Amino acid sequence: MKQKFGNAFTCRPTTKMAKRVSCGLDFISPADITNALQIATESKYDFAALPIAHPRHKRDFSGSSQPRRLTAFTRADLILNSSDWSTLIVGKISPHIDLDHEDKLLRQESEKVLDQELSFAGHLGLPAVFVPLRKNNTNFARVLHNKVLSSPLNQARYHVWLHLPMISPKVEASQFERDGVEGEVDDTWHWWNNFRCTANFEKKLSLALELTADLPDAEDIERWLGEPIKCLVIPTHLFMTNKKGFPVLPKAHQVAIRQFLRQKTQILITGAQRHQHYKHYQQYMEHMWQVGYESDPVMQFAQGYEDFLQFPLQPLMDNLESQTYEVFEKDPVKYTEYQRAMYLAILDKVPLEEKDTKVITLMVVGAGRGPLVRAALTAAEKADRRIRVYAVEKNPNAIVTLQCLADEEWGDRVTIVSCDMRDWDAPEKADILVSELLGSFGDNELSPECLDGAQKFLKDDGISIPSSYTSFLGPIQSSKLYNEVRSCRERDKPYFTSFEMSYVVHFRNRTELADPQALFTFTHPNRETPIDNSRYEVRKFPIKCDSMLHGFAGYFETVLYKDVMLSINPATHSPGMFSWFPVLFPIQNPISLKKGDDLEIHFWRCVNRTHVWYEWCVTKPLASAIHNPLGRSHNIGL
Amino acid sequence: MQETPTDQIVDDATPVLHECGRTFDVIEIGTDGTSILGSSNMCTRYWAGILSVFHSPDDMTDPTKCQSSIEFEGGLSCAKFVSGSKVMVGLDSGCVSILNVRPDSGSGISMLASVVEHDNVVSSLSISRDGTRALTGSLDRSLKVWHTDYLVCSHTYRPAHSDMVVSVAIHPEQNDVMVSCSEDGRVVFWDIRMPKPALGIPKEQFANRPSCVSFVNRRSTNLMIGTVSGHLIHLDASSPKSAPSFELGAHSRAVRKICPAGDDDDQLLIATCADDRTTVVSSANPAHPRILYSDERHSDLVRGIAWPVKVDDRRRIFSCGWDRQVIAHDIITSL
Repeated sequence: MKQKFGNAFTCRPTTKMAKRVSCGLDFISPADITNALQIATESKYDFAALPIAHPRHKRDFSGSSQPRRLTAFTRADLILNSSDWSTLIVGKISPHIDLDHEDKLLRQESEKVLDQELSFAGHLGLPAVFVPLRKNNTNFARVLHNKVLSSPLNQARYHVWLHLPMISPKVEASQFERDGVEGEVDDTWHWWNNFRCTANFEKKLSLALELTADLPDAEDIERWLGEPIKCLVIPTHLFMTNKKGFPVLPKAHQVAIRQFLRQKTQILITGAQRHQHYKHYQQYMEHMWQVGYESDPVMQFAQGYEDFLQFPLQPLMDNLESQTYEVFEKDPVKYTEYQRAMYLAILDKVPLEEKDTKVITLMVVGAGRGPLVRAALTAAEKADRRIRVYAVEKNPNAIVTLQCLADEEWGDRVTIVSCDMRDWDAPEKADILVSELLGSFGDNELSPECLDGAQKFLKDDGISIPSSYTSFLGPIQSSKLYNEVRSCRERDKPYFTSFEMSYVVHFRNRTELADPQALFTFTHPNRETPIDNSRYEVRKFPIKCDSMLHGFAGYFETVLYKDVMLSINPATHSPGMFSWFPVLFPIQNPISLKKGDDLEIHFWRCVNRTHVWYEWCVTKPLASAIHNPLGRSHNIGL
Repeated sequence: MQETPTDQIVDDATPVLHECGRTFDVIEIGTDGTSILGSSNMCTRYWAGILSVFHSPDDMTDPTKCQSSIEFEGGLSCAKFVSGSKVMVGLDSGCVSILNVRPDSGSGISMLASVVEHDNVVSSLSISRDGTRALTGSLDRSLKVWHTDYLVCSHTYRPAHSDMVVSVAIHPEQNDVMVSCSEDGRVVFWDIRMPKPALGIPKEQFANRPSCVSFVNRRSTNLMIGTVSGHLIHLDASSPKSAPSFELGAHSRAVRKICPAGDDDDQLLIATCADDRTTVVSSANPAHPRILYSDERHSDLVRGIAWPVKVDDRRRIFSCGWDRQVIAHDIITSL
């Protein structure tokens, strides 16, 4: 993620394709860690969670009640070599550490014990430290945040995994209580939310979420999926035994685990060995992962792009590269649908009785390397009609390909025009005008402006493919994306710049807080005078659950012709299509939302002579500052 | 016992000092005087718990008089006599075992049964007076009720608390009545005959968070509750909403063990230890509650306390601690 952004698809991040699940084994109080590590690796686990100090070994730093003990507080680093410590071991801090204890002495002692253990974890070079998160955690969040901030000096490179259960143990325990309050609410998400807000969404502080016997509602699980979960903790007592004696999980837990595995969450098996061997739990998780992975081709394609921010293309200003064209042309769905739309349009333009006499004109504006030209010719053949094709393209490099194709395949059916469509003086008017200028947010690659320019050579009864498109907007929560945006800050730019951009992202680690709603619609040809492509809309979103707003996801739907549609809006997404990933509009300051809140956002599409840009602003439940005024941080050149 | 130079050795591979570990956590005296000492090595290369058996309580003050011992992986956190020479232990591995510390067939210790059903350290253990039932509490937040005959778990309450369970007790007379205390700040009264067995004691009863709990005597459901501030609170659990009958400032830090003398007499003697160096004996007689004895001879935390079984020997208690000492306290002079 450190590299500079380039065009979509051209800078695939280097994340290796995960071939299998990463699964760890938890040890409570291992007698011998060499032996523990051997048990874990022989059972095919990838890592082991070990206590940094003995869980019962309390230390006293006051010196008042005991003489200073002369023994070491835990076992020495020499037992394992440093590469084992730094790759295979997750260190667990002592369970009695409570930095928010109301007893001052215990709290102060906890701080010292935590300091001792974290410092040792840094010394060992552990990749991660596992800490239990309690309900009251403000002081804990402050101290851990300080530790992580100071860690470059402190040689600590560990991530902190905050361990908490999906359902509060208080709620679970209330099942046994005689005069317990029914429906007691103690949502562990709020524990976490308090922690991460205090710790300012620091990305080294992430979650180890424990599955509980009862699972929360689908909506709450959905919300967890939008949180930075590094590890899913699965206690062995959740496993049942199948007929052959192997451990299996109940259906509901399987479904939940699959959702987390899609996000490449690691697994930690914890608890007593309740079946023949610890290896069976690992095998079961591996099985779950394989089944989930193989059944999902889009997931395989998008591997490596998840939550990776890219700048939207500006094909009007820049020329695309060959590689970019190539990826776009591979989409199995997009060109089939374009071809179907053209087929229907051609049939509508030429009745059966005129099929041998009438030749219609079809213009492809922005022909690129010719996929639409090819689709047009195929559509005409299928329809058994005669067409004449103009392929207009402004990129001189793509013209090379087009001319070559015309020479070798298309012959005089296709005329190649090397020109910007807005400047072209067409020799005749077209019956059908075909373009693929849509961005992830529909109009964000300036399709309206381009097509308004091109429609001067479209006949009055001519057809534009696409005939209309609509952008969609939905609020999302994602600490991960918020951090990605925050880390995009460039040295010579003001702090707000990266929050006033839009980014193309294949979303994974995020939660939709309300269903997306339609925003801006454009129709072609546009016969209104004067044409006004600026827009201003206000949308209200009923919020589904207590949450943090980090930004808005943008999608689009387009009607190519009649009933032929393309969509990346989750509700209507064209199956198997990967040409477009959604777009993200961040907000600078996360906003805390309550279930039932009406979130109100104002969204503008602004146009001047040279540029188009978006401005956005949340006004309810809290009013916030306008983003990207005057297009100061981001605009799209005409 | 003087501090030996071995105290300063950081990591020796054979830590056994006269068949005992580095920290003494448990001390128990059986009906025939057989005594057990539970200890652990928690800072050495191999984490282990050791149960050492002695002929008499007094022998424990001299570790060389250890008759036999057995080692457990991970550490030993609690142990209690079940009946005769049968002992139940709770381990840091989540394991619970039953042993015969003086089998008929010669010397040594024989393991009768062992199961791992807790998912974290077994922090506390209690045996019913008739020896048929046991209760364990664990850092995994759960409680388990056991038949001691075959070490079969009859009830699992998971989670019983919203944080680690630190202290449990079965009523000395009624086998179905129990109490537990947790880091979540709650003391919960359990009647396992009920479909909803738990009855929490209102938090308002404690000015400070409770850290430990025990029943006081056989006839009533009076509880003695220790708090993180070192106080002892006497409460009638049958009417948990009524105010505590008294409160004693016995220790300076969190109370960890409460050990009633057993039989009911006027004195209602209670021995306690805490996260400090003191061993305290108090009278829990509500008419005249007071501290009778306080001793600071231990040079580190006191972790285990036990009364001799014979009634006429009730003038003495034994304590052990992380300073590797067992001390016999003569409290007659203070009475």
